Amino acid sequence: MDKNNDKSNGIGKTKNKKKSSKWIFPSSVLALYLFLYFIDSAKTLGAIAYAAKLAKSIAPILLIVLFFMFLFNLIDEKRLKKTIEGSPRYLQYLVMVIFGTFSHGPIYAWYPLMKDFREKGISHGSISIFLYARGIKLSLLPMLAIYFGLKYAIVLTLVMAAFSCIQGLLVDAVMKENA
Amino acid sequence: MKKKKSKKQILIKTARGLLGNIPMMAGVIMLISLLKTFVSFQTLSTLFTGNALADTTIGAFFGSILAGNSINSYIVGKEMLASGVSLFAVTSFLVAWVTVGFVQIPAEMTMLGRRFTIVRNSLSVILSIAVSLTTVLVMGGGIK
Repeated sequence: MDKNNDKSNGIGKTKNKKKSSKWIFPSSVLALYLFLYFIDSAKTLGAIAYAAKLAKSIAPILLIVLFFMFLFNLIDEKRLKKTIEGSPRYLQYLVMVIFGTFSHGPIYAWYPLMKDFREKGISHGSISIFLYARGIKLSLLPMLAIYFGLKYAIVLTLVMAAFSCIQGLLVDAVMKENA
Repeated sequence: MKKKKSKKQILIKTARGLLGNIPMMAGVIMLISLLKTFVSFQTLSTLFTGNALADTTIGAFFGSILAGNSINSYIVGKEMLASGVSLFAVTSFLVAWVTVGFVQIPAEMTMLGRRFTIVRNSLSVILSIAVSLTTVLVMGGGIK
């Protein structure tokens, strides 16, 4: 009984620690804003206005992320683990390259979904592939071609897709070694 | 026996999980905005040396620090090219901009773990140099 209490107290403390550590980073940024406000108030206010604009543009993406997280949470964990374990690695990587390439919005908006992926047994390498392939912006390909030429845009996109898989392999190898 | 959760319960749990990550995301957004407002992109191009390998590394480093919409990286990259910075440096800058996130590291560590974040971001910096070298070599050394 006491042992169980100790255990639950331990878990509670870890959860509280995690909850409070979540606020350290945003509080530090807020403190930096306050400090900079006294140095250059006009620029700091400009940064606040830009942050508000950025937050507004990210809101719809978070809804998409919520939808994907919801769908992913509907999947039976045991069955998913079985399917992942049964499918070849190259197929997992390929799916993540495609998923990453077609994802929209900033990288940090996708962290919660990636956290869910990890908790359901998807490898670190596959998650890093998704995060790397996010760098391929198909919707901005015409813009990249206008700025740097069509050949450059195509070559860069293909090289990045190939290197996303290389990164997946490397991350899996390193994380496995250190696990 | 474990009771199966309803769709509504799953949706609430998912929304709670996402909302719990909002403070971290807010921190990242605010830091990106500060960088954008206080760091002048134009002055960056004056920091390159003219040595292709050194410039590729410098490009990867700056791309890793800066964040935001990719269109901004294209604009800065084009300006860098126009002011004589090599395509190697510009490419590593463009790639690191979208694949590495020094600004997002605290949020990534909290959600995906410290070791994974360090390994992923370190590899991304190195790979941005490798991607740059491969791309420019395939291109035959430059943009025609």
